[in-house]
Amino acid sequence: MFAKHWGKLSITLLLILFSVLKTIDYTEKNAELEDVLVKQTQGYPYVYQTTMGEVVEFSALNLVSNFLLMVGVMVVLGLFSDRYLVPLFNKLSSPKHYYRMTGKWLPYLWVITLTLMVYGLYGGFTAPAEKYQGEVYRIIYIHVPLAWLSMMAYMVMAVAAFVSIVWRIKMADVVLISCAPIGAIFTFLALVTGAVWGYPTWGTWWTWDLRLTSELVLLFIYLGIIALYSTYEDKRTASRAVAVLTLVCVVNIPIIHYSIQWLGDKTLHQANSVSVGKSSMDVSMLIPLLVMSFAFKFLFAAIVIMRSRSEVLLRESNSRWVEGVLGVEK
Amino acid sequence: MKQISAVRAFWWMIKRDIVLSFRHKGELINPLLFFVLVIMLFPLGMGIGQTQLATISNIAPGLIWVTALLASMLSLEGIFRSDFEDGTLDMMVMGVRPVALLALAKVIAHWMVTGIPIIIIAPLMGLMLGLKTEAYGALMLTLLMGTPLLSLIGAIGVALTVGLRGGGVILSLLILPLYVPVLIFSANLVAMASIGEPITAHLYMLSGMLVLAVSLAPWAIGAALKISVS
Amino acid sequence: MSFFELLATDKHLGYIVASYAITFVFVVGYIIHTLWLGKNVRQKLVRRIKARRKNDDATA
Repeated sequence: MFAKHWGKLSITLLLILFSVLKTIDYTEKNAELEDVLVKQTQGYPYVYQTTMGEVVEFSALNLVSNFLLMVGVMVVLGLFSDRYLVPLFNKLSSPKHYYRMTGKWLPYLWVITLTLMVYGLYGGFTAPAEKYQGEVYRIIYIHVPLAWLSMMAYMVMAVAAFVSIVWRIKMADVVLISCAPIGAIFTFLALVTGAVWGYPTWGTWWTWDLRLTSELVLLFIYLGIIALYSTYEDKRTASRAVAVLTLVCVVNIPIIHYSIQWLGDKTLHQANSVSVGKSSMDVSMLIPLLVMSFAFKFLFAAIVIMRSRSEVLLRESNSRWVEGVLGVEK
Repeated sequence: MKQISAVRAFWWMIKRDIVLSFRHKGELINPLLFFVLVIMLFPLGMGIGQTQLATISNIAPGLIWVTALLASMLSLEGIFRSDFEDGTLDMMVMGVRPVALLALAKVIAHWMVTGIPIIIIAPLMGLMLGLKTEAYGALMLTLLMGTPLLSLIGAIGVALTVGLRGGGVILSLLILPLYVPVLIFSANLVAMASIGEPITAHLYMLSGMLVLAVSLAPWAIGAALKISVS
Repeated sequence: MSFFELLATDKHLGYIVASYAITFVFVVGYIIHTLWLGKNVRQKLVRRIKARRKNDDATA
């Protein structure tokens, strides 16, 4: 029985672990948020905070709702995995099918991206001004999606690296290296928009705090990965080297993040305004932010797919199907 | 021919590397000289006439640690090179014994000939930079735990670039971001010790990181070496 | 006064415009670069395949 269902069982265990960790995270975030409120009452001028301004107490309800969410996700995964997800994954791991299927997806991705982006920007610029910062807070609608995505892109790369090392799937290599340049660009833009936002609100372009430092290190990690890939002549070897480096750096990022946190980070950066299940923002500001973040995620997917399609053509240039795609078959 | 066991091979590798590096004394002295010279440059760069010892002594932990980090990176660059050039590395990777173990042996040997001299000379450098008396013990302790960490982490990057022509150029880009946590913890620890704050929690963290690196880094080095020599 | 007029009088307008503009420039620039790269790769491959065929015909 265990041998048959080990995949679902391990997913269950992982999700339980994840929800417990998430709950611990809630308590920390709550402490952070209370700290913000205290600062605010003391007249601390530059804290980003809340039109609603309430603190959601940590409760067993959080844990239960979180857990139920995870169980739901698991059930859906379990129901769909054998029939749809596994075949999809298998198909995508073959270069030929990857090229054909993503070619069909790409127009839809662009339409979704543009629609969401137009809607998000419209919502963002018609939302009310923020209580303490005035209009300049509207940078949030690009800064926060970029910052989220810079981390998410790395997570995608890490998963691809794992798949590439464990199962030796060629497409994972292609996806891994296609994510790197756009990840670097998003990280760079998150830093730049953060600085542009920081100057009018904090009075400084840069400060060595937790988020800024880890984001900067992340940028250098992206650049290191790109540099290592381009130094190798043989791209197959390059992909394997890059996969190892990506996994090594995955250990590094949380260590940097928490090391600065533990060392008593006295930060100017505002606390997280949004996390799963609760938010300190008003709905009229929050919805455009979420829409924009989804728009950027679709944008990321579209760009990675475009990049990986030309990469896969290059790598498979000796296959017959490439000749068919290029329209030069005999 | 009789096969020697993996443990014997491990000790043999350490001994061989130490003997080899004592035959090339230049490689032995170079990182140490670099360490001393760069430390000397900082006070000079801050203005020799009006050198305020107080200012320097405030940032001394950071200076010593950044310099130790750079010296470690500089000396690590050659850790696999001669073995790569004469084909010993190919034998290591293709042999029956685990590459991770042999790589660990090489890193330990390398640390013994380049890390330990730096630890020994560090108090003298602290004296020259006017480090507070309370901080010397902490400095030695962090270096004792931190320099093997640096060697282990750095060796991953070196192993990835050993077969490349332009490898040396990107080495710093690969391993300096990985050095950041070690630097943050160690320099902070020494700075806290110099103002008399408790450092036990930091020491636990640093030793935890060392344990993590000792147990995981050899596998990464092994995998990287396999990629580089293939 | 409409919302956008209000925004135009805000003293931080420059910062908003700057951050949106730089994001737009980089993202659109990268998309154009990717499109160009894709086109380039296709042309290169077509040339390479044709050259290979010519070579094969010559040896055959």
